[in-house]
Amino acid sequence: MKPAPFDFIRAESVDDVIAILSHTEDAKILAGGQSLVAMMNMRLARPSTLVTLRGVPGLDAIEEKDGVVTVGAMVVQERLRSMMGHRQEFGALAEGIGYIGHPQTRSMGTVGGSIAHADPSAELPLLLQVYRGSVKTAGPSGVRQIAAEDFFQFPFSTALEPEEIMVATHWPVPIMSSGGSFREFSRRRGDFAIVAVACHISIEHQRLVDGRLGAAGVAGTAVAVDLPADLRGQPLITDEAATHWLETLMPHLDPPDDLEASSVLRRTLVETLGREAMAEAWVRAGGGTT
Amino acid sequence: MIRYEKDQRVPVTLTVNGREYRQWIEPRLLLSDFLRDELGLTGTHVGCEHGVCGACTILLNGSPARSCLKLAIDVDDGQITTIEGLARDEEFDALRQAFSENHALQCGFCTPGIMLSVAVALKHTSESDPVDWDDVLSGHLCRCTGYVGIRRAIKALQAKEGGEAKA
Ligand code: FES
Ligand code: FES
Repeated sequence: MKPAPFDFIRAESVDDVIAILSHTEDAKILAGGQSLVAMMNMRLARPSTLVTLRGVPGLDAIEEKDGVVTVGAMVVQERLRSMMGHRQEFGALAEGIGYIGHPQTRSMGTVGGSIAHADPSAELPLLLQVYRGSVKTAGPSGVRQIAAEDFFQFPFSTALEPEEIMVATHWPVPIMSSGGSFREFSRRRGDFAIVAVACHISIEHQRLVDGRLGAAGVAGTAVAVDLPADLRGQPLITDEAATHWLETLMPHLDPPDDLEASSVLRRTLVETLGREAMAEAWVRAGGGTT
Repeated sequence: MIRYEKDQRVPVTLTVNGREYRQWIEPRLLLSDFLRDELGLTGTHVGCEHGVCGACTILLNGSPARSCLKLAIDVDDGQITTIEGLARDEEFDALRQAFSENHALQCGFCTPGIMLSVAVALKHTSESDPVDWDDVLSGHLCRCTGYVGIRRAIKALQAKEGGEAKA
């Protein structure tokens, strides 16, 4: 299958992109193309105009300043993964990116593309929520910073206005004694997740001080919750503590019932993977076992 | 900014297997079709055309990529290696032999893509950073041989390389 014809624009600046989006009906931004071109080949997407970001300078930088990592929208997934591979405090990030597609798609697929696409079962939208990240956008009325929680609204739909472009994501650096874990269940390696779970934990003096637990594939967007306040200061994630934390996540789930999996199975998977991820994140954060 | 109309022919320059090509193409032409139809390099196979099967895998600026998910116009100035280019490499003989001896192919439809992915992964493997072969092969569907023979071929290649490194 081939894409339907479209006009093609090589943008040279973010302002170019904003101008095109403001004046063209049905224009689409092309980043790595790993979802968009597939959809165009199947004629599920037929944009009138395609704007490539390839020639826009400054979108492929990774910078760290004042405790925040800024990842340009055009950074490819595999690059972020190899950069974050040895950063314990971002433990779930590299691990989670490893579940996106295959090496042959992560080499081209971009961080920004995946987040703007907002697939409810995708890994990066989940990770951005678990790490309390945000999205930086640019539009006719200037630059906006949108927290991940407000950015993802419905399946494949975000807080981006039609004439806005996402230029970067921000990832606040957790404290050093943090650990993370990512678990995913799918039918085949590299397939879309049926359920994915990510957990992030920070400890101080062998006590829990902070954490996030989230899941994808179980609601219209990825969902994540903080460590419940009454678990702060605990010396261990006990079974009861894990149950309690999971109970705070469960009300946010609205798992689909489809050919891939029933909603009951999806809930069960959140629980099972959630417990595993919590235990692993705890150990990776440096937590003891007694 | 430069704008091209849908039916306009646009010049692109691509280096494929070390040779530079300049062609006039429609914006919607996929890289896979560019290689096969414009250049006649039919070693790049096309199975699903939506990023699932991996038959169309090529190397784009050194990284394995699905050529059916790239527009030729959007990889202008890129460096591409197809199976025809890999076949000119010195290491290719060992790869071909390992695939043949270990029954790593049958119909051969998936084979060019798999060979390119395997060749790149073998180059980047080291003892401290071993390749996750499940991950690499997950990007390729082989529907007739199965993966056992392919894994055996990879093992044979690694054993050989390890042996040569030690010798
Ligand atoms: S033809 Fe490109 S992945 Fe199947
Ligand atoms: S050898 Fe036939 S599909 Fe792989």
